[in-house]
Amino acid sequence: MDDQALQKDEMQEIIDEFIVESSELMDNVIQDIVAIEQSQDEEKVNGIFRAVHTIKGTASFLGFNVLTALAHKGEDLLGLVRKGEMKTDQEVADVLLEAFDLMKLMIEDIRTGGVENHDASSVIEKLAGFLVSKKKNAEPPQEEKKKIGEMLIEEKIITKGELEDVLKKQETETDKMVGEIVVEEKLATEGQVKNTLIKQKTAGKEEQSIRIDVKKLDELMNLVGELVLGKNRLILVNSLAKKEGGGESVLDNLADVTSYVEGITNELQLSVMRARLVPIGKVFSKIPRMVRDLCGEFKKDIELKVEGEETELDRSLIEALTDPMIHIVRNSVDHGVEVPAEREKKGKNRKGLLSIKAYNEGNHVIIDIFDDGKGINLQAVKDKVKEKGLMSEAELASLSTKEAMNLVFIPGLSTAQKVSSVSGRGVGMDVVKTNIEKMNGQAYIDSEEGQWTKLTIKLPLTLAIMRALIVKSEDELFAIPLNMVTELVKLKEGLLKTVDKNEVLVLRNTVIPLMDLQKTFSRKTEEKQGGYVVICNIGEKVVGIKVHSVVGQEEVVIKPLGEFLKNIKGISGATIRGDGKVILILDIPSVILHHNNQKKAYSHLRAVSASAMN
Amino acid sequence: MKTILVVDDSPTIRKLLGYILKKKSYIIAEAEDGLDAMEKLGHVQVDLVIVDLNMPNMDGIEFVKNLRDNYYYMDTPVIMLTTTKDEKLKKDAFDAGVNMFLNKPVQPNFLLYKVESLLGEEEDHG
Repeated sequence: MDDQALQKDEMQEIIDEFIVESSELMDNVIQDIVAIEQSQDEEKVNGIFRAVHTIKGTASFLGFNVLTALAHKGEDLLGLVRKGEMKTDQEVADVLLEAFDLMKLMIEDIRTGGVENHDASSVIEKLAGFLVSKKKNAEPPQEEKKKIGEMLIEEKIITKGELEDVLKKQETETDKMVGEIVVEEKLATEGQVKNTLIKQKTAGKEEQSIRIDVKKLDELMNLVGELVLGKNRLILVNSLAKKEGGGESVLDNLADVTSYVEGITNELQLSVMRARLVPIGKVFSKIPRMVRDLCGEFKKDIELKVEGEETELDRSLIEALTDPMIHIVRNSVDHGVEVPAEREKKGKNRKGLLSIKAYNEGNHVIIDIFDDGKGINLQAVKDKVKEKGLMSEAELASLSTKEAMNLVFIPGLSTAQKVSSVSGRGVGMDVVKTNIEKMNGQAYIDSEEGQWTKLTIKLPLTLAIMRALIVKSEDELFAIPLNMVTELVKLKEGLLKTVDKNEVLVLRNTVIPLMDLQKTFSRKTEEKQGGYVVICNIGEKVVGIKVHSVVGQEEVVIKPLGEFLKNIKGISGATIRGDGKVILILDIPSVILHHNNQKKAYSHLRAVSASAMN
Repeated sequence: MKTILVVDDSPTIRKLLGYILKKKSYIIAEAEDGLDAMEKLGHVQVDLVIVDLNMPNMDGIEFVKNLRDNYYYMDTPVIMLTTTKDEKLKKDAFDAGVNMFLNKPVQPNFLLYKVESLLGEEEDHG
């Protein structure tokens, strides 16, 4: 590139832009290659071709010659695929993926050092080899024609039966498009077919969007948080003013303004929150490639189904979700789905199924990961737990099937017979669960032995603002995340029992370990009678929190405690209430963890109470 | 001052061309594909168009055909700037009404010179 024509900073800016653009394109391309290996899709092939073409053009402008040469050869090969002169079988997909992986590495080189550091000659040669020797005949691209028919059905212009007739007819008159035949048969007018065709072309057009620096969004979110707090104060002042009386008109005005600000703030909060939401597809996009590679490694044959990529989730959650998802998918491929021969012996389809589905449920996002593999061997899990001395026989016997299933989340447990490079080391499921719980989420597992396993992850939409139960211990206020609270119990005499100096609550024949907020967080230690127990539930674990009184539900904005205080166990942050007071937010998972240390007492009582019941 | 519409699906190329063209203080309008460009042309008066060939939704040749159908843009100079060296596509482009066919990468000063001369021609006639 001519240095005189462009200043250095301008050039750097352009290169930065190129890196962002091309890495994004490459990610999509790699994903699409895996997709077209499964089924040829003209739209996708065109998309890949265009992306590689674009990178080639831009790279040549910027003087990245190795990258240009590689992209050029890749484009040539894709050109054949596009024209239908080559089929994307595994071999072709392999070499294309190799080329694109290398392109990604080079883009990474450019990001870090400004020049390409990889040699592409061997891959280029491979691509060239494919170009000369292997012109395979591709299947006629039926895909698009089919789609027109399907769209016509969707538009309720023709029926399914009619389409089948048309397709049959097309077999004898191969040079005709479905649309033409439909018109000939007078099933639809020419106009209708044309409209549908136009729709088909525009369907792929993406929504309009701009790139925003995450920092800016975070700033906005912080400001909205402050505004929510301001709103809460205004509501408080309004109710105070009402209580103390005053001029009627002033009060009316205040009430007016309060409800106005409340409404606006709520809406603003929602839309800023939505701006931070990212489609979950970002996490899912890596999975097809991973499953493909793992299948190769373990000699398995798996069909991957991904649904609900458009489900949205807060940005920070998306990042934190990547690792657990990778773990889970690896587990399913490695230990879940059996090898084809074994599946056949069991009378299952040779091809295993791995399905990943995301959807919204209220203020939560649910992700289901399902595989039709060998399921969980409940007895093996129980044996392992016993062997490691984590629970006694009596305890294990008292567990429900679902509870027992969720034992796989206990640290240090792996039922895999063999250790492989990717899973079976006994770390994994517990890490998955802790990671998910860190995000205020929950994870459960369900399975039928020999048939299937389903892992469910439940996540909140956002981390920054949540509904909480405000409770009081002595004069101190605390917030408990509302999504974990299952019930409130008013304390009466006889409900509390003491086991090994630990208080527990007996509620409807179950024993719930208790944590007394007063003892844990307050300085005063004098006993006070009465109060409430807040029952909190995370997955299969239950803990009760003893408080003096319950104030009510509130929307709280979570503020981190800062560098010095961030590692306090049991506290996840703080928030500011309407009256300006700072209150602490309890971190229930870590509270439960704390209590697990006293598990022995718990299990002891369980045995005692079980015998007492009989 | 003259306005130039840059049509390319790569934001990097648009930025790059933008920087080059700003040296001669042209006003730059950007569009990411043919469809987008047609829409932009509806409310911006454009003196010259630089267009890529291979783009989603509406490609360069299709776009130029549409452009020439529009009374106001029948004579607007169009430079097609593309990586393609395919002779058939080049012919198609000229048939559609492209004034000049350049291959990427192009030297910035060369591009500026060509833009200037195409705009000058325009003035001589008008």
